This record gives sequence, structure tokens and C-alpha cells, in this order.
Amino acid sequence: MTFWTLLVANTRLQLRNRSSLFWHFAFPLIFMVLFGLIFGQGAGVLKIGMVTDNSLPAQHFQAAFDEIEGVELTGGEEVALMEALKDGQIHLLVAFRAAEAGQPVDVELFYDQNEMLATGTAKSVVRGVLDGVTKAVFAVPELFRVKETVISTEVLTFMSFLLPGIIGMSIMFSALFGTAYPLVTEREKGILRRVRLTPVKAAVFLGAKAIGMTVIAFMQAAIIIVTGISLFDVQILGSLPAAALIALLGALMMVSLGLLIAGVAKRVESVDSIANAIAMPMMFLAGTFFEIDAAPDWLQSVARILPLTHLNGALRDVLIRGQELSAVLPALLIMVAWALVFIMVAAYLFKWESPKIQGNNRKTG
Amino acid sequence: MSVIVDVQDLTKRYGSLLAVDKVNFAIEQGEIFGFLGPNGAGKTTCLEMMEGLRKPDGGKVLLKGVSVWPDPGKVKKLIGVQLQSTSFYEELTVKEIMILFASLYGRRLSGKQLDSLLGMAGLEEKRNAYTNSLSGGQKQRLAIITALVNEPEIIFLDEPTTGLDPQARRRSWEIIRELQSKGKTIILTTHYMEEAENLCERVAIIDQGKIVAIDQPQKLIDQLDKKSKISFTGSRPLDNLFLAQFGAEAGRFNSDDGYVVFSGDPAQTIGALLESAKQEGIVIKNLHVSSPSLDDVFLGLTGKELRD
Repeated sequence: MTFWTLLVANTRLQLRNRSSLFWHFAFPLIFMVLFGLIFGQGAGVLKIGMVTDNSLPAQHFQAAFDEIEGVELTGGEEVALMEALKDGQIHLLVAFRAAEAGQPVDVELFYDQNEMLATGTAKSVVRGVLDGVTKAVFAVPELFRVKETVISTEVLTFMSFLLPGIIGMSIMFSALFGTAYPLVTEREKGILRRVRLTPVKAAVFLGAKAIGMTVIAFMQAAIIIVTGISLFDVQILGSLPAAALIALLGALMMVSLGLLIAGVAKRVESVDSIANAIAMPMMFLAGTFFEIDAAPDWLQSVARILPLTHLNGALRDVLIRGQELSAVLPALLIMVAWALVFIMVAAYLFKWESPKIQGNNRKTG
Repeated sequence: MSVIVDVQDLTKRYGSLLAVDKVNFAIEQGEIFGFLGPNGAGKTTCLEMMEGLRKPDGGKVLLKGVSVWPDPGKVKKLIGVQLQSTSFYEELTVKEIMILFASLYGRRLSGKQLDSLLGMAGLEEKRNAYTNSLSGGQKQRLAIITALVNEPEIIFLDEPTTGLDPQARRRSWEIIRELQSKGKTIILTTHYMEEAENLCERVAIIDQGKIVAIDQPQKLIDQLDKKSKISFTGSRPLDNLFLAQFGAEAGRFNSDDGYVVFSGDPAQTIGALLESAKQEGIVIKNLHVSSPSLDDVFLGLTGKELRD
């Protein structure tokens, strides 16, 4: 009950404070919108290439597209269209294969899995049309047999790439500042001394803060994902529960680092500089906005051990690349290890009273 | 009555400074006990060692027979504490603060308990107000009732009325008296003489880490053994030689810019004073005769003003 009341109180404190609201929720959105405006490509007209066998179904398929707005269907030779797909001039290639009479028509779809921005839409349009043609015109349940062939290239739309990074970055900033700043303030204002007079255990008191920040982290992730999907057509391929687990671990890891910072900072003013000195370089090195392949090897080695690198990486692999949780297990284990290290150091550094208050008491007795 | 607080040879050292120097006293159940002393005298340090916030360098504190040290956890449920500088979470309401503090003791505050505590502090109307909208007096009263959520037997109040206007101060006194009527033992620090005289059954005057006097306020005043206090100023600074003519020690005279003399026979003393002044060409101004107060006891015992 103590824990629950503390959790509710902490969440209220975060949500009622205008500046923490801004940093938790507006700040990541501003980042996303700015990056979206600068780098994001709008969906524009969907371009679908078609290789036809001139069969009746293919003709119906072609005709259906006359009525669909915002989609451009171009016919042509398969080789040329495949080149166009690889160059990004078309989003999807549909190939109708000549079939024996009475057999289903083979339809092959080619697309770039990472180009989720447009191909996802294109794919569903094509499937919809195929279904429509089947059911409405022929009333045969299985006229087409669709076979998908993924042409994977290195291109991932920038916004899709960015979204997990924004989530990771937001969790980091919110957890570091949202933990260290209130804790040092409470210490400086003497709230911690007052709490210390009650039987509550430090672990329970701080644990409620940690879980409170995790709640905030989930809210952040949800808002960022919804914004990404609705404004920037980011496609979430992976499982959200898996992403939630990663966010939970990431939040706990960053909260632990926040507790550590609170232990190091002598006063509120120094929280800013310490937290920024840690968070800013990490934000850039951890692949939040771009991969750092071009960086010198030693810098990449540094980046590979940073906590945020693994949070960003795991989120990206699961959310955008659709990988299983098991595939990101190493990253999760590294995050757990970091969290344990941070918690141990933070526990060692934890103080109920700030040096300033003790100094005052010496004077005022 | 039984002794509920027993302090023996309590000592605290900060480097070479003896902040609290072998302090001994006992407090009975249901008593309002006050620590009186100037800033830096060791009041707060003394209180903090009793509350379990600051580890003593020597001596013992027994609360209801339980030693506070080495494990202050044992007395946490027994005591309620209002700290000197009180801050709350600004974004929580009065009611939320009360619920939070109760939960820190693993308690759930019933609606009735909440109402009665808020009623005691006169904060019923403010239950849904954020704490940063409260006045100084309201904040202090909230601090007092947060110290009551665990129904403690011993209540520590560190300067409960400092910085409050007289009306707010009296309001706090009412709460403290109400607590006493419920059988609570109250230990407070103050640097208001008026507060000590009005509220405390016994006061300990503490100076430079030592208790220099401990008794009922009226008895301390009676100990002065002088019926009247004569205060005055001179047209020019008066020297000790001049002042010594009135039969008291020089160190006790200086009060603000004026002078104070205690006398069992004020008429005679004033006559002698005016006579001497006339001879030396000094004009005596602001001549005032009054009964001595705890202030004077303090001045007499420590040679200084309470608030410097």
C-alpha cells in the first residue's frame, strides 16, 4: 500500500509539473516533427509496377486501378521494372504469371521490406484489389495464388529508423532528469529528511520513483508510436509487448543512472550539467538519429558499450525490423548488467541529506 | 506521571566545536517542554539526536524506555516530528500529502481521521488546495498534522511558529495545547520568550551546547530575585564605572542601545541613578520600570539577547 500510494504520488508530481510534462511529452514530439519535416518523405503517389500475362484476371486487376486514387499503375518489362523497384522509382512490383487453364493465376509481389512507408500501403492495396477481383467478378474463392518475394535493400525510411531512437532518447532524458532532479530537490528542501523519520524503507521510496518513471516511459513510447504511425506513416512490424518489455528494462536502467546522478550531484544546479554531460554525447553516439558507421573505430567501440545504444538497438530491431525478442537478448542482458551496476553505485552514493542542509544546521544548531 | 523522555550525557561534536555538551534532562508524559536558546546554541542538534536524525558522539536518549541509538528505526512509530524548515511536494494537495505521509507509516488514513486532523489545523477548506498555495501559518500547521498521522506519543516541534504573525502563532499554540490535552508529550524549540512563557510547562535554556537553566518559566523568573526591571537610555554612552554605582554587574546592563538594571527597591535606585546622572551632566531618557520576564532571565544567564 505504501508503494502504491508513493507510485500514485510520484506519477501525479510528474504529470502536474509543467516543465516535466514538456520534457516528457512535448520535447520528443517536437524532435519527431522537426526531423519529419526536414528528412521525412511524404507518402505521395503510390507507384506500382505490373508485369501482365494478359489473362482475364490481369485485365480486371488493371482495370480496377483506374478507380483507385493516389495509385499509379505502370506496365512494362519485368527486368526494367525490377530495376525501377531497386532504384525506388516504384514501390511495388506485381507480376502475373501465365497459368494453365483451370489453375489459379500465380501473382508475385516484389517489394523492399524496409521501405515500409509506401510499400506497406501498396501491398495492402494490391491485396485488396486481388481479393475484390476474385470475389466480385469471378465468385471463385481462390483464383489467385499470391507469392511474396522480398527484395531487401539497405534503405529504411528515415522516420521509421528514427522512431525507436526517439523513444530511446526520450526514455533516457526523462528518466535521468525525472529521477535525479526531483530527488536532489527533495533532498535540498528537506523532504527526504522528513521521509527518513518515517519507517518507510529507502528501497521502497526509491522503487516507487523508478516504477513511476517507467509509467512515464510507457506513455512516452505510446505517444511517439501513435504520432509516428499517424503523421509519418511509420510501420510497426514487431510485437508491442516485446517493445514494452524493452522500454521497461530501458527505463529501469536509465532511472538507476538517474539515481546515481542524484548521488553525485551535490545540489540541484549540478544535476543539469552532470545529466547533460552524460546524456548529450550518448544521444549522438548511440545511433539515435543516425548510424555511426563512418565514425572512427575507437568511437564505435565506445558507442557499442553505451547503455542507450542497446536500448535504441533493441527497440529498432523489434519495432521496425520485426525481430523476435530472442534476437535482442544480448542487448537486454547488457541493459540488465548496466542497471545492476548503476543501482549498486547509486545505493552506495545515496544520501538522505544534502551537504548544504547539514552545513546550515551546524550554524543554526 | 512517568518519565517518557530520558536524556543522559548527550554529546555532539562538529570538529573542534562541542555543539551539545553532556546534556541531561528528563521529560514527563503529557508535558510541554521547551528548548530556549539563540541560533547556534545546539537546540536543533539536540532535537535531531533525540529524533534519530543525527548520531550522538556520546550519551543516551531513551524514549519510553527504548534507546534511540544505535537503531532509530525502533522509535519511529512512537514519535512525530515537525522539522524546522518545512517543505512539501508543491504539486500535491493537502489531502494527498496527508494520505502520502500516512502511507509512509503503512497506514491508511480514514476519512474521519483526515477530517479530524484537518479540523485541528483549520485546513478543512484547504483540503484540495496545492501546498504551494498555503500561507506560512497553514504550512506550519500542515507540518504539525503530518507529524500526527501515526498517532505518536511524543511529538517534536522544531520552531513551530518561527516567522509567523502573532495570530497564526496563537493558532499553533491552540493545536499544541489540544495535543497535550490528548495526553501527548510535546518537545519544542523556540526563540520566542512569549511562546515559552505561555506554552511550556518547563523550559531548558540552552547556550553554547549546555543547559544553563531548566525549570518552569515562572520559577526561572522568580529566581532573578529582583522585583523590578529598570530600563533607560542615556544622552551619551555610559561607562561601567557609572553603571556600577547601582550595585549590579556591568555585563548585564547592556541591552540594545539602552541599559537595564534590576532592583528590589526601584524608587531608591531611580533616585540614585538620576542623582549620579545630574552630577555627570548626563540626561536620562526612556526611563521605564517593569516586571522581569523570561527575556531577562535569559539575558541574566547567558549575557546575551535571545535573538541576535
